[in-house]
Amino acid sequence: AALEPACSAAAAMARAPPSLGALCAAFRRLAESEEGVQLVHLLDPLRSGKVLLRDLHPGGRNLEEFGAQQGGEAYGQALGLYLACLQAKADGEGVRELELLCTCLKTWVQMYIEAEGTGLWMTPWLIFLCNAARMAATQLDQAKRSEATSSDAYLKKLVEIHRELFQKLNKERTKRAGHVWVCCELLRAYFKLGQISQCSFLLTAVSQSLNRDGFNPTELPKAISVTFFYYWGKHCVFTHNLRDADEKLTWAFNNCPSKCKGNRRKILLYLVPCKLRLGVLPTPDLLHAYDLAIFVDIVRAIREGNVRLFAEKMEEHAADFIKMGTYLIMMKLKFTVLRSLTRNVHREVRRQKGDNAAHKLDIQPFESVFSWQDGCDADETACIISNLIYQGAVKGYLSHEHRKIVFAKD
Amino acid sequence: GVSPAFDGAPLVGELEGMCSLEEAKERQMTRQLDKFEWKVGTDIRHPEVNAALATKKYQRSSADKAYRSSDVRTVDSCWRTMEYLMTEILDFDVNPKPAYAMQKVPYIEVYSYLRDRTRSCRVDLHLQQPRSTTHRCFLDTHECCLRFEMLSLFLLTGGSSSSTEKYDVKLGLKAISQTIEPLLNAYQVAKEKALAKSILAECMGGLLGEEDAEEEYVSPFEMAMHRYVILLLMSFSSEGLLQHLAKLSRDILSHPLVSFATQVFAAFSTDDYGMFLRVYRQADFLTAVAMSGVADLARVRALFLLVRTYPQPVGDKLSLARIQTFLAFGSAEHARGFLAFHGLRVQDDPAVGGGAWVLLPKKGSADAAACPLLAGSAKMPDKCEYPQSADSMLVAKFE
Repeated sequence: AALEPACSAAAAMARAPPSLGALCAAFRRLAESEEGVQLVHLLDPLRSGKVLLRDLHPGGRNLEEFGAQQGGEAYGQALGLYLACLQAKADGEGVRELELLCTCLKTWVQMYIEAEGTGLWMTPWLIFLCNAARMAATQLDQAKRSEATSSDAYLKKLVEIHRELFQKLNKERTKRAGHVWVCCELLRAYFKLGQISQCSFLLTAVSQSLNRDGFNPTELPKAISVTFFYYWGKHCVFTHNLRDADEKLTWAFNNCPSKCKGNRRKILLYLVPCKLRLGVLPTPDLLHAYDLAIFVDIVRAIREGNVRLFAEKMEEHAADFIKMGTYLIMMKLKFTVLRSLTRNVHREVRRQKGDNAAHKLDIQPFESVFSWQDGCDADETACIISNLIYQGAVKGYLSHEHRKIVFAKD
Repeated sequence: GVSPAFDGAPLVGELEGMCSLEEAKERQMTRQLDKFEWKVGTDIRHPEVNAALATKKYQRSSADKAYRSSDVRTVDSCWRTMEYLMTEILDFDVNPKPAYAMQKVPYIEVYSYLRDRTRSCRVDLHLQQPRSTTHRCFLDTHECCLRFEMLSLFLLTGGSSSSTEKYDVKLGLKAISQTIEPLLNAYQVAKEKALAKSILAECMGGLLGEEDAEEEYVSPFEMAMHRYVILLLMSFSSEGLLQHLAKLSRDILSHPLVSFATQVFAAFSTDDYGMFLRVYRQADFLTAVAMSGVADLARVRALFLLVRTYPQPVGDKLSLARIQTFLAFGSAEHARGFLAFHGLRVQDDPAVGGGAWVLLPKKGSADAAACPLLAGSAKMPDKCEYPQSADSMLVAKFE
C-alpha cells in the first residue's frame, strides 16, 4: 500500500515532458512527499512519455551540479548523478553511464539507510537503479563478448558493488526491503555467472538476519518478496532440495499478480519440475495457459508410463532444460515413468492370468516391454527393476536364478 | 623478427623447421637433449644432437618475455612437428625405429617427451593468436593433443613402471584442460568469424573480396571433441559440467554426438547404471576412455543394487558371464577380481555361462556377513575402493 500512486497532479507532471528545472522541482516535491512510485515514473525515460535528455535542454549546464542544487538538500545529489548518467547514455559513453549509475545507486542506498523509519517509499527507485545498472552492465558485456574476450566483466564489477551494499544493509534492522532486494540482485547475478555456490551464504545471511529480528519476508512489498522467493526457490531446485523449492516457488506463484503472466511463467518453469518430482502433475489447462508446451508430452508420458515418449521429448527439449538448469531434475523423472510402466505390465500380466494370477511373475514380459519402450536388454531391465525396488517405488524382490519378480501382495 | 613486446604487432612465426639449429646446439652444449634427439651411436655421457630429429622444447610463455619470430615456428611447421611426433614417436615403445639412438623406451618416457613437445607446439600457436586461432593447424594440433592425452590416460593409469618416471593422473588431466580451453575457444571464434562473413556477404550483395570469400575451416571432429569434453568433465570434474553445458549453443547440444554425451551424463547422475554400463560396453575406445573415470563407481553401484534386491532369505545366483557383460568387464579375470574384492564368492561350474556362478549369499550366513555391500550401509556407495588398474573393457577395445 505504501507504494501505490496517490497524487494525480504528480502523475500528470510525470506524463508531460518537463524542462530541466521543472523536472528537478518535481523530483524535490515527490521526494519530500515520499511518493516513491511517482518518482520512478518521473525519472524513467520509458514511462514518462519517452522523455529524452535533449528535451531537458541542458543548455551547457553541468547536469550533476544542477541536479544536486535544484533537487533539494536531502536527495538532490542522487538526482544530479542520475542526470549525469542520462547525459553519458545520450553521448554513447556506456562505461561512464554504468559508473555514474553505480555511484547514484550507492548514494541513494546511503540516503535510504539514513532515512527515518523503514524508508519504504525509497525502494521503487532503488529497484529502478538496480535494473538500470544491470542492463547497462549487460550491454557492455555483450559488446565485449563480440571481441572474443572474456565476458561478464562488468556484471562481476556490479556484483562487487552489490556485495558492499548488501553488507551495509545487513546491519540495518529497519531497512529489510532494500536488503532483500539487493540480495535478489546478487542471486540473479550469481545464476547468470554460474556461481550457484555463492547463493548459499547469501540466503543463509538473509535468513539469519530475518530470524534474528522476527521479521517475515512475506510482509515485504510484493515486488520484492515474490522476486526473493522465486530466486530462493530456484536455488533450492539447483541444490535438489525439492520440498523447500516447492514451498518457496508455490508462494511466489500464488503471490505474483495474475496480470504478470511472464513472471508467473518463469516461476512455473521451475515449479512444474519440482511438482512432477513430488508426484503432482499439472493440468493441461495450466500448461496451455502459460505456454508451457515443453511439459505437455512429458506429463502425458509420466501419466501413461510411456518411456519412449518421455525419452523422445526429453531429447527434443534437452537444450531448453539444460539452459534452465533443470535437466537432471527432469531426467530423474525417468524412473517415475518406469515405475508406471512396471505397474502397467504387472497389472496386464495379472489380468491375463485371471484367477490364476500370483504375485510371483516371470521377468520375461518386463524384458520385452522395456526392450520395446527403451531399447533395454535383459541386464538393464534387471538393473532398472532392482533400482525401483531399492528406491521403494516397487515392493518386492528379484530372483535372478529363477528369472522371477516377486511383488508384495499390496 | 621483432617481438610483440617491443612493437605491439602480432607475432608471426618464421621458423620452418621443428627446432632452430641455435636451440639444438645450445641444448647439446647444456646437455638438455632428449634421447629421441640423439645421434645414433652417440656417447650418452656427452650426446650429440641429430638436428633432423630435434624438436623445440617447451618454454613457459609470459607477457613480458621477448620472443623472436625466427624462434617461433610457423603455423604449418607446428602441425608438421605434431605429425612427426605422432607418427614416429608415439608408438616407439612397441615399434622402435632404427634412426634413433635408444631402442628400448617405456611408454612413460615416450609420454614425457611428447607431453613436453606437444605443449611447445601449442605455445607457438598461442603466441601467434589471434591470427592463428582459426587456422586449420591450430584446431588440428589441439584436437590431436587431446586424443594423445586421453590415450596416455589409458596406457599409463594403474600401470606399474620400472622407470623412475611416474604418471600423475592429475598432471595428465591438467594437460587435458590446458588443451580443451583454447580448442573450445577456437571453435567459438571460427563460428563468430563465419557468421560475421555471412553478414558481410549479405550486405555486399553476395560479393566478397578474394580473401574474405575463402571459407573458414570447419573441423569435422568438433562435435566429437565436445562429446569427449562432456564425458571427461563427468568423469573427473563434474561440479562444473552443468555450467559448461549451459554455455553451449543449442546447435551443439542437439547434435547427436553431443546429445549422446549428455544422456550418458544424465544416466550416471540419475542412477541409471544399467544404461551407463551398456553404453560403456558399446562405445568406441576414446569415448570409453572419457567415461572411464567413473566406470568402477558405476559398477559397484550396479552391483550394490543387485545385491540389495534379491531374495535374501533363500539366496540367489547368476552366471559369471552375465555379471561380466552387465558390469562391462572385458575379461573374466577382471570380473572375478572385482567380485572377490567386494566380498562375493564365485563358484566354478563348467556347465554355466562364463564357467562359474556368482553367489548371492543367504541372509545370516557367513558369506552374507563378509559382503560389505550387503552388511554395510544401506546407502549407495559414494566411491569405489577397487585398486585402479588398466580397465579390461578399455584393453579389449584398444586391442
